[in-house]
Amino acid sequence: MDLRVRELIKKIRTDKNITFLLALVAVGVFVAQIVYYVQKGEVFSLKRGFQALFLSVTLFLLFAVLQRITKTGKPFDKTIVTLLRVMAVVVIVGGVLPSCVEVFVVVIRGGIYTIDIANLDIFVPVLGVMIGIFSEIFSYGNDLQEDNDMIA
Amino acid sequence: MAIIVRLDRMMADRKISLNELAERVGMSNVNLSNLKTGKMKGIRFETLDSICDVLDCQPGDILEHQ
Repeated sequence: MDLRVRELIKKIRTDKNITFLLALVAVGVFVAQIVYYVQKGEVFSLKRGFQALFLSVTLFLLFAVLQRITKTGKPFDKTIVTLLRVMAVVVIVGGVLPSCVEVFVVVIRGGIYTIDIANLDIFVPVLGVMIGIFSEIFSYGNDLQEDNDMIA
Repeated sequence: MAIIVRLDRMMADRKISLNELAERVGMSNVNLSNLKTGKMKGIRFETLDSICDVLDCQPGDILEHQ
């Protein structure tokens, strides 16, 4: 294995462990928020809980990506492309769904929910789109890697 | 493909095994075997140079156009 790849894998191993720990923390936050929602009935906790859930799924996917790189030593891999695409969808849905759930619960309870367009948080869905674009770059990288592997 | 790799013929002429050639050229047996059987898409000038050095031949002795 190339020395640069070895050094990269060394760095990634630390990042991988940190990602796994953060994912576990996010799961903890999700559980805590849901328990708080069940006890107090605050819709904001439900929204935060869903956000934590999507964050934990995203972090577990990132962990799987890093795990794959350390195992194969190749960042441009079909599995990584698939994982990044799934991550993009999860981030986009995770950016939209918690707010939708909040609106749904408020409306179900007979309350009125006002949507303030000026303060709409589109950062997370845009981040998801960016991850989607990155996955396409990785897909192109995978094609180039396969081409390179076919040259003696 | 119209380009045919005649590595097996040159190896037989020079009485050199695949393993020995792979070792002397500095590439893996699998890669060299794939090159020999025409499974590879291309060959680097660097690799071709090493093979020609070891087999003491010209690139034209290894590659043929049909």
